Order: sequence, then structure tokens, then C-alpha cells
Amino acid sequence: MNVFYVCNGNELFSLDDLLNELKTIDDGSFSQHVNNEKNDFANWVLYEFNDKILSKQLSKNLDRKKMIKSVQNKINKILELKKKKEIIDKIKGEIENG
Amino acid sequence: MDNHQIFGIVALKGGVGKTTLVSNLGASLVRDFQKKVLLVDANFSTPHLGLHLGIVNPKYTLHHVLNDNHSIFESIYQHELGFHVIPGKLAPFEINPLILKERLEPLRNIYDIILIDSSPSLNDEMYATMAASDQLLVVSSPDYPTLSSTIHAISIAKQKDAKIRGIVINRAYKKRFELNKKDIEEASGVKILSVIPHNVKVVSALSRMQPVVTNFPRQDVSISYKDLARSLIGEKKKKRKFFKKKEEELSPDAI
Repeated sequence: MNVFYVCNGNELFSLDDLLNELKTIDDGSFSQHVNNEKNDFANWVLYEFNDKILSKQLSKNLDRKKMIKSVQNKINKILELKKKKEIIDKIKGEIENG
Repeated sequence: MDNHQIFGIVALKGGVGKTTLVSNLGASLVRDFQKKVLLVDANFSTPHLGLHLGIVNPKYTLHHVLNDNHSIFESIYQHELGFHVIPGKLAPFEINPLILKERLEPLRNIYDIILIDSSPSLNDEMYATMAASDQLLVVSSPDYPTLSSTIHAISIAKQKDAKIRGIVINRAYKKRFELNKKDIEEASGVKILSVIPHNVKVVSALSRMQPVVTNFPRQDVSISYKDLARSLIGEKKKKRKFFKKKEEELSPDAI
């Protein structure tokens, strides 16, 4: 597990943390991580979560609001898939156990 | 494909499209692949296959065959689209469904394919189809209630040692809110053979008591039925000649 150390002292462990940080981080700290030369958040998403699609979305738009939207959409999708799996497992369990 | 196969079309839920699948598969197998096909309406409680095909109030039906030792040959009707049909009787009629297999056996070597439209009821009516079939097609749609019925139907089929060819997903809108192929395959443990798209032309054709594959053959739904029919008989889709010709023109040998 590679923690992301934000220059303001915060630590990020998950996409939820990333979302919260993007919403609250000050402009100066944000610019230190995201500028024309680099995008630390996009890199972290790629190497920590192996999420090429989200990483590409974050790299493409350096606008903070758009980055927030991309991460939020990703989290929503993960929750949706998790919920779907739970429902299917419950259905299977009910049928198998009679 | 082994010759003379009997496929049972099953689902533990009414309205998923079993009968529509049977009528369209039958029509496609004849029209597109020149097979000799028999469609059997073994949905004894609500036999609607005749209504899908313009056979209304037939004199002899499968019910007569399974009740009073009536000859099965007298209950076979030739449809204008080239397949044969054994319809059911709409009005209540007492029968012994479990002799279905025995009654169908004499027909096996006459037809290339027999498709049995089954009952959605979890009782002897469905078991009769399972017993009479070489393989089952389980019809489902991409939503939780139908998935639940599908898993249940597959579980019953396995208990009865019935061989399952695969699942046919019907009425798919192909939208994000639906369950996808992977969800259904993983949940059921059975391969999906085909995803038939939702198309209003199916209902339009039904209003004329005809299969959509003959009424609107170029629609995506008709092409899907044709592809499924092709897979059932073990044929592969041929590559389009246009692309093959282009490849030849571009090859160095052609210069």
C-alpha cells in the first residue's frame, strides 16, 4: 500500500481520501501536485490502483472540478458494482439454501 | 451438430420470451438454414405458441395426445413458413405431461430439430420438457428478478440431470442499468449463447401472428435470432467476400 503524501501534510489511502482532498486542498498545494509538468494524483491512481482509465481522465483535465467529477464517478461505479455483487450473492444464497 | 436434436426452451418466469424465441428460431432454421423443424407447445397451462403463429382453435393438440392416446401425427400442423407445429389447447384439459418424452420419440428421426416451448411452472409440466429434451436453452432477461428465476431453473435442471446448452438473454436494452453478460454468467455458472435486443418490431410482427425474422429480417433482433439458430446447428458465420477480395488486392502477390 503506497500512501500519497500531500504537500500540506495530509495522507491519502483511498479514492475516497483523494476525493475529499481534491475538494478541500488549497490552490497552492494543488498546483504543487498538478501542473503542466506533472500530475501526481494521476500517477498515484495508475500505480496504486492500476486504474488506467481514471488516471487518463485525471491527466487529461487539469481543472480541479473536472478531476473531482472523474473521481466521484469512479467511486459511484465501484459502489454500484459492489451493491450488484451483494444482491446477486444474496439471490444465489437464498436459492442454494432453499 | 448431431442430427435430430430436441431442444427445450425453459424459464421459471412467464413473459421472458420463450414462445417468441421458439417461433423465431423455428422460422429462421427453416428460412435461413433449410432445416426440417417441429415446434411443440408444451406450455400446458398457457399454450400460446399457436397464437404466435396464426393457429387458432386447432382441432387436435398436444393436450389430446397426452390425454386420450390420440395420434401425435394428427396434431401436427404444417405452417406456411415451412415448419411444423404441435399446438396446445387453450381451454383447460386434463393431461399426463410426463408421457411427453415417450410421445415425441417417434418424431425424432423425422425432423432435424424439435423445439419445445415449456411451461414456466415448477411442476410436472416443466419436468416433462426437461425429460424430453436433449439440451435446454434457458431464457432470461438482464434484471434481478429474472436472474433469480434463471438461477433457480438451472439448479432444477441440474438436479434432473438435464443438459443445458446455454442461456439466451432476451429483450436487452443494452443499457448500463441492466445486468451484463459477465454478471449473469458468473451468477448462473452457465454460458450465454446470445443476447437478443429489445425491438418493438417483435410486437408489431406478433400483432400479425408472425415471427419477426420473416416480417423484418434485417432488424437487429432478427439477425440475433438467425445467429442463435446458426450456433444451434453448429455452423460458423461466413466472412463477407468484400473484405476477402480487398485483402487479395492489397497483397504483394496481386501486384
